[in-house]
Amino acid sequence: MKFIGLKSWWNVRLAVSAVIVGMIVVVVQAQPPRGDREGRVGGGVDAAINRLMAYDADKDGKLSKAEMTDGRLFPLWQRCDANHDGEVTRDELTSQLRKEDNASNHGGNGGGPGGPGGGPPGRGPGGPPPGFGQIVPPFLQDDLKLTEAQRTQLQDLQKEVNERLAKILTPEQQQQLQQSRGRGPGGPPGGPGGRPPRQ
Amino acid sequence: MSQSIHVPSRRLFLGALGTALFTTRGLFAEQLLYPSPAMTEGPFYPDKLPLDQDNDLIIIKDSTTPAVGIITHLTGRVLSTSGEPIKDATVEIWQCDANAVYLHTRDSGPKAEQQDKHFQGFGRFTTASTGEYRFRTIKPVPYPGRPSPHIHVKVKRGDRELLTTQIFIRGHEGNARDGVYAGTRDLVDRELVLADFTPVKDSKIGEVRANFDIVVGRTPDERTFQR
Ligand SMILES: [Fe+2]
Repeated sequence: MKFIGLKSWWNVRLAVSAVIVGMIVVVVQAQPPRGDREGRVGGGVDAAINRLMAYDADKDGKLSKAEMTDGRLFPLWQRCDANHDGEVTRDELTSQLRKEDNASNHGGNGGGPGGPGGGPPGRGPGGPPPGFGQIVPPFLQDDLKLTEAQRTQLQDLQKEVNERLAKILTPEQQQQLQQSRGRGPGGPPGGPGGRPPRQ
Repeated sequence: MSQSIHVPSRRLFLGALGTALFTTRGLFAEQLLYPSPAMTEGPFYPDKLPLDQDNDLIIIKDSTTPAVGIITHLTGRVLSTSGEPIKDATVEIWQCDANAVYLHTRDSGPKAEQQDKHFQGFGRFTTASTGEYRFRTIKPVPYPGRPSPHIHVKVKRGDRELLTTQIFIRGHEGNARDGVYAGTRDLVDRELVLADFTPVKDSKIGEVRANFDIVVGRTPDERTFQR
């Protein structure tokens, strides 16, 4: 048997990382299509405003009732028309959508796959850097000599992957993943094992 | 509509893999409607389709006992993004019964006692030239792990799957806690999967109606591929 030299070991590490990246691609790919053609940038209030403002046919910066030609979006339009003057301004859109975004996204009871109290993995303040599921592990980041901007972009991407992973995995799996990552200071405590997010 | 705050990872990956074209189209060029967002099929598309697959899920065959639950008249149209009705589209729906059991070996198997044996669990309807569809079913109820009551929908044309999505009850308190609903980050998409379930006037048995238009994107093949 041949001794695996330092260089080969490095190659193994590279290969493992490549596999991890591949797995993440598959995970992200497996998500249902989000209609990227429609100009969505992963949600948020601004993206929604832009999508709705596409209905501003006369480009006066307001959405009139007549412009709201898609009946499916009429209830939303109505909720936004706070002063009931039949026109929805960008400000009205912003304040209503912010309200609704806050109400469900950041609700304190952490419903969904996380289960009550079960935060998604690795997102607590000062929590441990994710191990498995890491797109480009730190040692590779160093090796690739990433620029500051690239590191920032990578961080954003990692955040998104983490969020999606948290949605895909059951609370039990998240716990398992967290344990295999090792618990860091400030990492969120594991949920009380809520039921998996089945149908 | 051009936004350039950041490139979502998904687009990045797809772009890198060269599997999709991302041409941003103005809403008013040919497109009038945003496509209904695709949502997860979930684990319980029936593994064995029921013998009765018609659009009345309340009565199985010529049984005299109706399903338990609030009778719901679900109607809508299948449309293209330019608002054209889509003919010959088969709309399939499935949902758990009033006791929260899906018609699926892995659910109604272990929960046979709990199951409402009079609920059909699955139904089909094929559109004519108006694109309209119609079902009689029950008002969906929450399922363990899914605080949002929902009806699963799949649209096919021939043997092509055009869309898989879910219908949610507008204003239901469970929506904000539901992993699938609240996990939909696009706020417009969230709106596009909601339906009002409103009482049928003069119904003695408390029936409700819900209208839900399904808008199928312009590249069904790509969707199927991506699933
Ligand atoms: Fe479901």
